[in-house]
Amino acid sequence: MSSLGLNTGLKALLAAQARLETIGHNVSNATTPGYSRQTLEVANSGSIFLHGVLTGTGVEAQVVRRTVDLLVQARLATQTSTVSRLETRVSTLSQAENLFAAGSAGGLGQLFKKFFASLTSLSATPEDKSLAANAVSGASDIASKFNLLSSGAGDLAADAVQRVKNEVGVVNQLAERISRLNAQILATEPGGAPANDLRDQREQALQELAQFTDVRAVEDERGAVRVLVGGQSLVSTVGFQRLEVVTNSPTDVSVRLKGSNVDAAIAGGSIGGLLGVLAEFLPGLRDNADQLAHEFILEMNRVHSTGMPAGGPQSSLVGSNALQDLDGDGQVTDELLAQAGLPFEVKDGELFVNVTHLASGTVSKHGIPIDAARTTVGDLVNALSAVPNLGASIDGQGRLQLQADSGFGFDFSTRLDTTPDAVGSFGGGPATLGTPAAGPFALAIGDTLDFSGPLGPFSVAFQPQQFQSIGQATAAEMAAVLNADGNFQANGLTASDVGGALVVQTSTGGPAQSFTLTGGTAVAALGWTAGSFAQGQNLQVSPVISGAYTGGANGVWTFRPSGDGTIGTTAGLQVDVFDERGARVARLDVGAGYQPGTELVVADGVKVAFGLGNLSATNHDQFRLDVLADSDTSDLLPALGLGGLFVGSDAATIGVRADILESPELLATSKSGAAGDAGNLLRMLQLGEDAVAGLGGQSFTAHYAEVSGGVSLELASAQDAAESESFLQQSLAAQRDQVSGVNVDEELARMIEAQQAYSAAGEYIRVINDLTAELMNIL
Amino acid sequence: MKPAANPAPNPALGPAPSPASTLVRELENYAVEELELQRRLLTALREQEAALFHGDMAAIREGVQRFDAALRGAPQRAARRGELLRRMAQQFRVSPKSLTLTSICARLGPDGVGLARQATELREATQAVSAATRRLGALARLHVRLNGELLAAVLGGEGAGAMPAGALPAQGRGAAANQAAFRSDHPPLHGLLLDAQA
Repeated sequence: MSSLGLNTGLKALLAAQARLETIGHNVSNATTPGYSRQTLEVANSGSIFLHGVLTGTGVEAQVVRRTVDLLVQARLATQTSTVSRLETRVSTLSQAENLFAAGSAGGLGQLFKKFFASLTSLSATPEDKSLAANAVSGASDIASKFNLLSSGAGDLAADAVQRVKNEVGVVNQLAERISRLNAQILATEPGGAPANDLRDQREQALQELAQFTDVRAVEDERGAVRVLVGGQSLVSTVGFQRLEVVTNSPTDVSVRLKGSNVDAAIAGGSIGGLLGVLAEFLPGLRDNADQLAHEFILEMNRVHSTGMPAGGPQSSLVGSNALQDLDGDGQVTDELLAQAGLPFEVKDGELFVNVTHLASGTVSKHGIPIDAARTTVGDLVNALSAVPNLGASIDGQGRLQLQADSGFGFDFSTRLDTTPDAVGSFGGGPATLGTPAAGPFALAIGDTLDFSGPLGPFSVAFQPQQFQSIGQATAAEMAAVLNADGNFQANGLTASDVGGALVVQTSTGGPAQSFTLTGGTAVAALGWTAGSFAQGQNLQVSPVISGAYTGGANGVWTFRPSGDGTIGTTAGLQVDVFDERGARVARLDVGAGYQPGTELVVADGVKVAFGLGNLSATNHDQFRLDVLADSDTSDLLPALGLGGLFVGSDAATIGVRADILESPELLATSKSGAAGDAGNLLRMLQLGEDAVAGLGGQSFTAHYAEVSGGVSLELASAQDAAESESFLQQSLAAQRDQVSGVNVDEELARMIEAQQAYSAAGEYIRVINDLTAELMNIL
Repeated sequence: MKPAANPAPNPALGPAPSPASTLVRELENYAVEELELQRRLLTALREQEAALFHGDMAAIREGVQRFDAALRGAPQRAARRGELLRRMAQQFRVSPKSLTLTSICARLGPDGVGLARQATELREATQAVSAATRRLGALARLHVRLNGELLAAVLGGEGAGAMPAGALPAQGRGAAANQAAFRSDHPPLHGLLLDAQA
C-alpha cells in the first residue's frame, strides 16, 4: 500500500510540476508574438483492484493544448492583409498629397497665382526689366514644380517597386519558414502530443505573411498547411515555391511564382497595396501632371510665340522641338508636318509671319497655308525661305531655325500691316487695272489677253501647263504667266495677286504711264471689259492702317472705292470694306469734307487713313488687309517650339526657354511691338482664367485644384477605410488575445497564491510533525 | 525518596478508589481525546494531500484552516499529558521522563488493560499521522521549492540584470526556445522526490 501511495504522490507531483511549467511557459511567452496560452489537461490515471478494493492511482498530466480559436485566427489574417494593404495605400497617398498640395506655399496652385500676379504687375509697365525678370522667375518656378511633380511621382513609383522587391524577399523567407514548420509538425505530432509551439510559430508566420499579401491557409488532416497567395500555391504540404518580381518597366512590376508565366493576383497586404498604387494611382498621377504641363506649355506658347518682345522683332529663332525622320530615309524634309514626331499636334491652318525693315519700320505680312496631311517639312522650309528677307533651315539636331536678313526682323504677331497697299493698287501712282472680284477664274485653253502698251499691242496666251487647273486659274498663277511674258515685261507692265484679284499695273507711276486692255478671249472670265484704259498719277492715296484688331476670328478685308474721284474732293466718294465672304464691314466717307490723312474707324479696333489721290472704281482699285485674331491657326509654332516661353512637352521636360531666362526682356509682352503695348501679357493673363479644351474645359488652376483635391479625397477615403478596418482588426486581435493570450498578472497571482498556500500548509505540517514526534515518545 | 501519604478513605462513600485507578481513568480519557485528534489530523492531512495533488488552492486553504482548528488546544493537551505523567511517576516513584503509556500499562498489570488497548490505537493513529505528515511535508516542500524557483525566475528579472535563461519572455525568442531554456533550469522532478524521501 505504501508503494502505491508513493506512486500516486509521484504522479500528482509530476502533474503539479507540469501545471507549474505550463504556467511558467505561459508567463515566459506572454509577449512572444503569436504565442497561444497553453493549458494542461489532467485526468485520473485509472484505478486498480488492490486487496479486492478498487483503488485510485492518482492523476496524470495528459496533454498540453494551445487555446486557440481557428476561425478568429483566419479572420485576423484576412483582416491583417486588408489593413496592411490600406495602410500601404495611405502611406503612398500621403506622400502624393504632400507633393501635390495645392494650397501650400510651394504648391503648384500658389505658383500659378504668383506667376499670373507677376504678369499683372508687368502689364502696367511692360518695359520694366525687373518686373519682366520677376515674371520669368515665376514661370521658371512653375516649370521646376512640374519637374518636381514628375520626378516625385517617379520616385514614389520607384520606391513602391523597390518595396515590392524587398517584401517579396520577405514573403519567400516566410514561405520557407512555414514549409520548415510544416515538416517539423508532421515529424512531431505522430507521437501523439500536439506541437503547440511549432503551431504557434507557424500561425505567427502566417499572420506575418498576411501583412505582405493576401493569404489563404488550409490545413490538411495530418497538420500541414497549404498556403495560397494571389490564387497560387506558395506553400504546399511538401515544400514551397518562391515569388519573383517581373519588371515590365522601371515603374511597372508584377509578381508571380518563379517559373510561372501567370501573374499572381495579389490584392491584399502591403504588396497588394503597392501593386495597386503602381497600377492604378501613380500612373494617373503622373499622367495628370503631364497633361497639365502639356496644355500649359501649349497654351502659353501659343500666345507667347504670336506676341512680340518689347524690344521689337527678333533676328533669329531656333525651335526647341526636333523634327524627326520617322520614315528612316535619312532626311527630315520629306516628313509630313503632322507626322514628324513633334510633341504637339499640327493642324490645318495658316501661319503668318511679319518681316520688318528695321530702319523704316515697314512690315510685310506673309501667310503660309499649312495642310497637316500634305505639307512637308521641306514645303514649310521653302515657304518660309520664300518670304523676302527671311531664311529658314533645319539644323543638325532637326530643329527649324529662322534667320532674318541683316537690317530686318521677323515676328509672328497679329499686328496689322500698317501699309497694306504695297503694290499701289488703291489709288497708287502706277496705271492700274484690277479684276472686280477675286479668283479663281474659269479660263479656257488658249485664252488670251490683249494689251496695248508703250511699245504697241501684244497678246498673252494661257496654256493648261501653266496652271494647276486652267478652269480654276488663280490670280497668282495668271500673274506669274503675265510677268513671264516678254512683251508684257517690255511694255513696263507688271501683274500681281491682291487678295485673290488679278492686278495689272505699270512698273512706275505718274500721268505718263498708261496701258489699255484691248481685248482677248479671257476678258469675260476675268470680269473685265475690252477697251479698259488705265493711267497713272502723281498722287498716291497710300492707305495707312492703325489700331489693333479685336475681332475673334481671322479675316481678310478688301477695301474698294464706291466710284471714281479724288479723296477729300469728290462729293459722295466712299470706300467700302468687305470681309472674305463679301459682306460689307464698313463704308467710309472719303469725299468732300474728308481731310486726307485723318483716321477713320473701320471696325473691331482697326482704323485707316487715306492720303490725297484719285480712286477708280472703274479700274477696280483695291487693297487687302489681313485682320488676325490668331496668326498661327495651325499650332505650328508651339509644335516646333518656336518663339515660345516654355520648352519641353510634359511635366518632366518643361522649362523656360534658355535665352529668355538669360534675357527676361525677350518675354513677348506686346501684340504690336509698340511702346507700352502689353496686349500679349493681357492674353497670357487671360489664360489663367480661360477654359482649356485639353483640360476638359477647366482652367489651369481649377484643373490642378481638382487633381490635387482628387489626391486628398483618395487619401481621405483610404484613411477612413484603413481606420475602420484597423478597428475591426484590433477587435479580432482582442478576441484572439482573450482566447489565446496570456494574462501575466493572473498567472503570477496564481503562482504567488500557491506559494503562500504551500508555505502555510508546510508550516502546519512541521508543527504537526513536531507534535506527533513528541506524542510518539510517550506511547 | 519516601512516597507521599495517601488521604484516608471515606467509609460513607464506599471503598475509595485508589489514586492509581483514578490516574488510569484520566489517562484513558486523555488517550481517547488524543486518538480523536490524531484521526482528525489524519483526515485533514489526506484532504490536504488531495488538494495539493490537484492544485486546488481553495481546498488547500480550507485544509490549513482545519489544521489550525485541530491544533488549537494542543499546548493545553501537552501540559495535561505532562501533568498526568508527573503524577503517575510520583505514584510509581519513578522519573516522569522514564514513563510511557506502554510502561505504565505494564506496571498497572490487569488494571491497565483498557489503557493498553487505547494506547495501541493511539500509536497506530499517530504513526499514520506521522507517515502522512512526512509525505505531505515532502510534497509541500517540493511545491514551495518549484514555485519559488518559478517566481524567482519570473519576478527576479524585473529591473535585474541577471536572470535565468529562458525564465523571462524575450523579444525575438520563440516559445519553444523559452520552453527549452525553462526546462534546462529545472531538474527532473523524480530526482527532487527521491531527495525528499532521503
